[in-house]
Amino acid sequence: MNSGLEVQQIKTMENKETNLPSSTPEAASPLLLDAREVTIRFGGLVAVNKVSFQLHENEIVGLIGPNGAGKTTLFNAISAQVPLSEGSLTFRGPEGKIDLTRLQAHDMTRIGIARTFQNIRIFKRMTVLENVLVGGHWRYRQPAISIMLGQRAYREEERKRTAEAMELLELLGLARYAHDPARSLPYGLQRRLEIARALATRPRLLLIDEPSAGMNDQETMELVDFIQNIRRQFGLTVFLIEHDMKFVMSFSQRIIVLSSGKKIAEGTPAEVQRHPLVIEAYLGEEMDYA
Amino acid sequence: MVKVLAETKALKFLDKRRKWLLVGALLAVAAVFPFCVQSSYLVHVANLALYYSIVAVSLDIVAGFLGEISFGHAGFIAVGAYTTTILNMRVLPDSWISFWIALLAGGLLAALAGVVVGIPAMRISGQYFFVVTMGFGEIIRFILLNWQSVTNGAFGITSIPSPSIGNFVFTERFHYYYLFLVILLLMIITISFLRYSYIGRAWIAIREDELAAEAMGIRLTYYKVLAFSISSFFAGIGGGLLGSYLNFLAPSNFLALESIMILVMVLLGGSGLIYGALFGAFLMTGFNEVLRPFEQYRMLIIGVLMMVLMFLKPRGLLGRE
Repeated sequence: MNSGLEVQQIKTMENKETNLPSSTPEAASPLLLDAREVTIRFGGLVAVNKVSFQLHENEIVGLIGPNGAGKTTLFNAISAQVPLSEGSLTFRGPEGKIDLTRLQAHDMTRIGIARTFQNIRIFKRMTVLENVLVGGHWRYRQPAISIMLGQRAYREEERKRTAEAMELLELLGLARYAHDPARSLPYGLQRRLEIARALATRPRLLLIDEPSAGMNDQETMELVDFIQNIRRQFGLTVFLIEHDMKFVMSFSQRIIVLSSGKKIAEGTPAEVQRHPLVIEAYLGEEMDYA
Repeated sequence: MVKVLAETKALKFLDKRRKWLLVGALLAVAAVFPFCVQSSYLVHVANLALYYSIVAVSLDIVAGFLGEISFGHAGFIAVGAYTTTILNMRVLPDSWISFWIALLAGGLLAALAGVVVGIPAMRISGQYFFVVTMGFGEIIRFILLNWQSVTNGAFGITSIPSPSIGNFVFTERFHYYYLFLVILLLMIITISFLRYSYIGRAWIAIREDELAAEAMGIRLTYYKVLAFSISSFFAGIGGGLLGSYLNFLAPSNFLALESIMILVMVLLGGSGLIYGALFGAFLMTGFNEVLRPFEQYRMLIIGVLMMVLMFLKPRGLLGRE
């Protein structure tokens, strides 16, 4: 049970974090994701139009824009669930640069990209623990025959993964629900579980699609803390879609603004909210962030 | 709060203990059943129920875990049955071990058929999937009917020899009873191991949400085809056993109605639970026997019962919610 692996990893991550200089992350951290002229067409519709941006390690970047701006489509492209029409997506994997356009959706966890979905997609009729174990799926090595014969090597592997998953649940405050069916969790905890499942893949880049959807202010603020904590503890890069301006302004280091598929602005929250194109795009929507 | 937790834990423990008690009691009854009933007919019915349990539980991998409705299970059973029987009678040397090798080969050929059908069928889902599997079942039946030099066509294969282990020959009905029981139990243990492994979780994840499963690193086609081939393997084993038990095999044993019947067993008991399929198999076999005197109304009565049950318990009799 007490393998200590996860805890140890988190500790080293924390050290790394504190060693970081406090200047802008772009200056200090290496490049993680490089998107160049990304274009995605569905028939005649251009959902994403020549969007270029970069993500650096340990950054937390917000992606905002009005409805239909192409935010989720861009996410789907990064997680290889939608093919690019033009442009390139390069990820710095554990063993050098990876061309994301050559990979399939199921390859993403292996190179260190995990995501959540706008309309929570947990496995409802599985337990909370099983959901998290699915996140560890790609790290299993034992073949089917070893399982069918009940071999020791597999039981050992399963025990280790389960201990790791329990530790993760403990860390995220979900341990007491471990054996409950996932659908029985309240909405806010289902969001957390979805993030926990993504974390179980041990990602370096976490894509979070509109975490505040369907939540009130109180819940949203709790989630902000939650995401910032896990980012610090796991040394993650977080790329986050958000519709709620108040929320995204409060904790993004950098914000990218999409409108009608085009990138119209990029910068710190303060820069972005002064940007004339952003104000125009959000005209009519309230922008009463603190 | 702690008190509440402790109480629920205690409850869970009790539940677990009660579950094992139930399993133990069932096993004990199963172990002595043939000696308690004097009627050879009842042992025969039990044998049929055990055979249907084997094929229904094997179908549960696809229909329950993966959540794909397959209408071709009888086709895979037929592949196993004919392969086992033909290899044993005509190809392999005359030795007791030949049957067991042939049985394994029958299962493996059925699994191979599962892969061949599975790869194209699993790329599509839902209604297309069941059309493809149903087509497969019918194709197998037509091959059996028309490939007369090997299968003897519609007349079928008769006087299939009984299997044996060394000098012990499976002749009596209760011999087969224990053979079926042991194979069923081994299969259930194997499938349970799979269900609670990363492979089983991958299947359920695919059933629950394909898109999310893929994003979690699960290769959809691979795991679907794996489920289909393991399911077909056990169906083939079931078929091989059936042929040796009935001493007779004909294409009419493997009508599309048979596939539907097995699917009904799984859905009736509750899919994706293993014990649901088991329960469904025993229940339907019992129904079939009880209603035998009313032959012409049998399907009508079963049909109406099914409709009522599905209306009242859409997740099956043992299914939750």
